[in-house]
Amino acid sequence: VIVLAATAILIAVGALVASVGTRSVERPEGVAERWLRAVGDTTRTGVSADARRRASGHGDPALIPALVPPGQSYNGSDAFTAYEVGHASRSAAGSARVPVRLTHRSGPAGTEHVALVLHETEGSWRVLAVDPPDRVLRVPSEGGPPVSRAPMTLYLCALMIVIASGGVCSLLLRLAERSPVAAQGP
Amino acid sequence: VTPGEPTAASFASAGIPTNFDPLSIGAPDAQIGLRRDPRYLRLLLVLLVSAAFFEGYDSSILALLLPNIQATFHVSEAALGITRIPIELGLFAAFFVARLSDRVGRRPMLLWSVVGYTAFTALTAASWDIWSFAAFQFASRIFLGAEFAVGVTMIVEEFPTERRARALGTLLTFSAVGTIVVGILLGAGLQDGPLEWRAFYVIGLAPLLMLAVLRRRLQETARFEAIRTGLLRPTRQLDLFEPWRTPARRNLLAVGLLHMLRSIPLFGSTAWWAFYAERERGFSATEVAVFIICAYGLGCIGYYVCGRAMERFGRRPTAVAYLTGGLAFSLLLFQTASKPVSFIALLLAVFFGLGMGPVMSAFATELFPTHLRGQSAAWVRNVFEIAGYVFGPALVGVLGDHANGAIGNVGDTISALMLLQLPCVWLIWRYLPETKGLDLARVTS
Repeated sequence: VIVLAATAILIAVGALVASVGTRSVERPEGVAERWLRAVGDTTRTGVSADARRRASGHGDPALIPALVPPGQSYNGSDAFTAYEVGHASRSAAGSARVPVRLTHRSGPAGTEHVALVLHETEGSWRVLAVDPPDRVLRVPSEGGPPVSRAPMTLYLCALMIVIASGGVCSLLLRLAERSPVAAQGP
Repeated sequence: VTPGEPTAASFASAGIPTNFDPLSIGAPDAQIGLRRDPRYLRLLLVLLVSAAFFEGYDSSILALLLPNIQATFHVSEAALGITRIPIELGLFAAFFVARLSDRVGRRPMLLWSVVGYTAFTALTAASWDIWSFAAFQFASRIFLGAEFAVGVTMIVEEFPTERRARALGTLLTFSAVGTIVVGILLGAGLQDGPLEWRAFYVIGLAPLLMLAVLRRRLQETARFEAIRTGLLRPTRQLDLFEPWRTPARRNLLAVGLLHMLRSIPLFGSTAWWAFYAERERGFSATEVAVFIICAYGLGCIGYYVCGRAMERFGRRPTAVAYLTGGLAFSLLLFQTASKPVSFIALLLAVFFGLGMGPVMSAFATELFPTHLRGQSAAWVRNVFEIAGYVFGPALVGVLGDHANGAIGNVGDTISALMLLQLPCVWLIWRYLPETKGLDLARVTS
């Protein structure tokens, strides 16, 4: 009973966290990451077709050969051993350029820098072009800003929550001291 | 001892992994003929060490291979975080499973735990999506948690008092070794082989081989056997809610809240550091492996220093210093872009953050009367602290999701969560008594 009750409480709290902690509008950087993950999977044995379907969901499938050369052998593994996405530069016309650093599993490309061009339609982003690297845009490991930055107000809110938590703890402890004891131990 | 003259002694309740101060201490082992042959104790330790090793190993796979698992199941950071809720709930359920060993015996419980753990670890390696992965890991965690808890109980019941601390120390050390081995395998590129990250779970089948060889030599604990045959009389088993009906509930609440507020950011950060390093700071898998091996290898000195400091300076100053150090270096770790600074910060974050385990264990045991100590420690560990295991990683995943998270950045999310450790300092300073050099009876009175 305790386990089931705890499970129900945790599922409810998890659902609450998921609904409060997410936003409906996507970030282009996140979509670029998902597209890259799908593109990297297109060379994996057994999941290639599914990966192409997922890549099509986030961008133009015709762009896949620009990052994964058709004749290159990856021994059935994913094409990239690592990828890093930087902060996007957005334009007023609803497009964004996302800096990317890719490490290829094999082949002459090694580590490659590109800029993905995404366009927003009805609140969701799609990858529409793979451009040469931008001199201004950089990934975090090369001195660029992170994908997103928590604003200072968030840290102030966190501090308020911390103070409130301290207050709640004090209140609970005083209640525990005052309320009558039901039974004494042996 | 004749069956007609039951001796007042008891065996420790299982399922209390952090309670190493069982009710049975003080029983004249030699007089009642429960001492084991040293060779058997060595064999037992070898068997139990594998439980501790895989406890550390299994927990670390998920933390260090999170980017690989995400890539295989192509899920968002939020989904990765949410799936940690059912997975870590397995450790909560393990507490109740381990308590079954009070009825069925330690030996069968340990053997079946090993079988269950290895079966579900094998199934984890064959999982087809993130939800099957979570379901198999949930079951695996139940058996792993039970195995570890029963292992601790067997050491407490079988080893003589003078050797017990060293045996428990060996057990805990191998838990840290499990983490280091995952780092070594990661550095060796096991995840780049044909089985990818699944190969790490295939290695989890090793305990079954050991069990097949050694199971016939594993015996039921002498203390449990003596109670079953009526040579010993068990003390009354307390109701789980007993501590809440006594004045000890004030300390239980204070210590429980302290553990919960510390564990949410702590487990959020340990679960997501490798992901943060690879995806947000551009570390390679090899760099992550080297950082982890060094940090856990050298950072474990924190345990030793903490133990000495709490005896020399007291529990409260040591805990406050470790909390402050852990907070400061964790913030630095998740904010710096420099790899050398990150290395130093990780080392010191492990030193202070994980190294304060001894003083937290002291709070969880010393502040309760002997007859309530086991149940109180169980509440602290299996309810309050597990809440951190469950919610810490989930919060980081949901808030730090790169596409849809409210913060959108794992590093900043963990930094904000770290501030939750500030009320811990307040709780320690305002509500917990200093127990250094005091007799336990005086503390609890």
